[in-house]
Amino acid sequence: MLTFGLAAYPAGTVHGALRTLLGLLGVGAAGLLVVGLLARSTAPLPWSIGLLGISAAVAMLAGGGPVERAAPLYGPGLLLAAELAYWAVDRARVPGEPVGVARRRALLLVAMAAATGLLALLVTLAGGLAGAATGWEIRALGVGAAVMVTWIVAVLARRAGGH
Amino acid sequence: MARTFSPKLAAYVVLVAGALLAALVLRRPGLVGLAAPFALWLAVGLATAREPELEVSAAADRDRAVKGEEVEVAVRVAATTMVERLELWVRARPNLEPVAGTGSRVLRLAAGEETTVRFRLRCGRWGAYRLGEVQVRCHDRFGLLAFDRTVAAALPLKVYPSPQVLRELLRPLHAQRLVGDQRTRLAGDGVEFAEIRPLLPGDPMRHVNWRASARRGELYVNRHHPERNTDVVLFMDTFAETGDERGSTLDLAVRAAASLAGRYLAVKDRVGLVGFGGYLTWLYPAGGRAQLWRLLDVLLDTRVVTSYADKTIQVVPVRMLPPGAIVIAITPLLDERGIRALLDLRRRGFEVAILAISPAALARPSTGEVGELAWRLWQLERDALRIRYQRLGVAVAEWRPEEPLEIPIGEVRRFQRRLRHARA
Repeated sequence: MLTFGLAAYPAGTVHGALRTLLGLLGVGAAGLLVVGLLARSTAPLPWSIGLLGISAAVAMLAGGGPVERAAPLYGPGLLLAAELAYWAVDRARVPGEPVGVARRRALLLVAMAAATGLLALLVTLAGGLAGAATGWEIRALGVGAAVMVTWIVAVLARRAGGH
Repeated sequence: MARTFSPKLAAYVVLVAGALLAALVLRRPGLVGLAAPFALWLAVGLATAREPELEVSAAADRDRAVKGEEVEVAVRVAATTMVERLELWVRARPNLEPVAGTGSRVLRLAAGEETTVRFRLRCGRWGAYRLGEVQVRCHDRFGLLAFDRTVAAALPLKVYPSPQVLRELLRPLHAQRLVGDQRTRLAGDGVEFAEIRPLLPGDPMRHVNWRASARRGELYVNRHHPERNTDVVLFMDTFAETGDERGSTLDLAVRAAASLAGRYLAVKDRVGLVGFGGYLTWLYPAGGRAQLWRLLDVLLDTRVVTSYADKTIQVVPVRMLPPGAIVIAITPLLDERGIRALLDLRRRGFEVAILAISPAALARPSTGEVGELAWRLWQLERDALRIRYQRLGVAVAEWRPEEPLEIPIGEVRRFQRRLRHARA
């Protein structure tokens, strides 16, 4: 579902023949993902993610603003889609993954997606869109920074307690 | 452990490099935003990945099994360092397949944790095996690196053929002089009553039948059937075999030999084995449980080896064929050398009975008129061969895979009975 959303979004920001082209890229990416999942093979997955990235890049070049501003969400979304696809193939190849292992992997995915989203936001803003930053971006950056600092402190405290 | 980079690592590196390059060339910071998550994933993943330290060992619950049974392999894993995701599986071998749902496991081990994982393998065919290798693969938390190790289990396993139930056995026309469990047709010392006759000088007084003596007015003694044993030589023709996915004539022959050997040894007969084919193997006749295991071990090594050498029965050691032994040949009657050897044995005075493993049940005729004609001609040739054997006094019974072994055994016994009456 996430992949379909990532495939559709860039096409929705452009018009005309470009929309058709991006639509085809999106369909191709989704198709490759489905093939990889059904065949339990990781070979098509990089191509699927690559096509989504190319679609986003073309939309940025053509449409500019909307996709570029959404990059802090689109990038982590792309990472999340890639990791979920690889995880699905791993579970199909070697079934019987314990619940504990799956839970830890899911938590890691969510945490890294959030962290990378903040990083992407920071990079995007620092890259020249700072003047166009809206309130929600600044607030998101602030919240994310606070969460990150809290987490780092917690990890350090646990390690100190362990020693 | 052998370290390998997962395909995901290469894919992410290419994506990051491509996006950053495009961002530089096209001056689009948004593309850096697309690449940043993947770059962070790679950086954190590679920085935190460590080779795990594990001890892995495997053991089987037994070293002998019967075809169709399951063998359990216990793999003990002790982790010195934390392993986020550990995959374990036993490499399948032909005829030793993991039972459904037990072929692979995924674990997570904390530092210092130890666990035992059990796999069940089904023995699909008789033979001697070394239990499959255990493959261990550890993944780091971010799935970028994999650490592989193969644990060579090297656990020997002997899978014996599943025995057939046999209620009756083949007996020679004349039993041996050695004491056994089988009732002979002679009269003498024994348990089972045979007849009464007048007392002769030398008869022990304890055998006198006082009631019969009182009725007849002279002394009569009881006579019993003495228990004697038999020397049995299982003659396996291993020049050729035929078969399909259901099995082969060799599989059936080994199963029959194991069943007969077990049954004869259980009644204190002596059993020997001759493997007459590309490789000549033999085991001298002997009795007891130890002989059964020796026979089964020799049977496990039985295989058809293509050979063009013209072998005769003279290559078999003389001691392998004791006088008075019954030779039970288990053969598909496909190779001329095996056929001639059995005829030669009969002409030398040995009592021979043939269990002909039917290749017709395991082979398919070629399609077309010529194929069908060839099939019928071949079957007529087999019938003619059977008649040729029977004229020499050799019982031949064809065994089809779907029949119990008792059916051809019964057919041979009926032939022996007719032969005995004809001679009488």
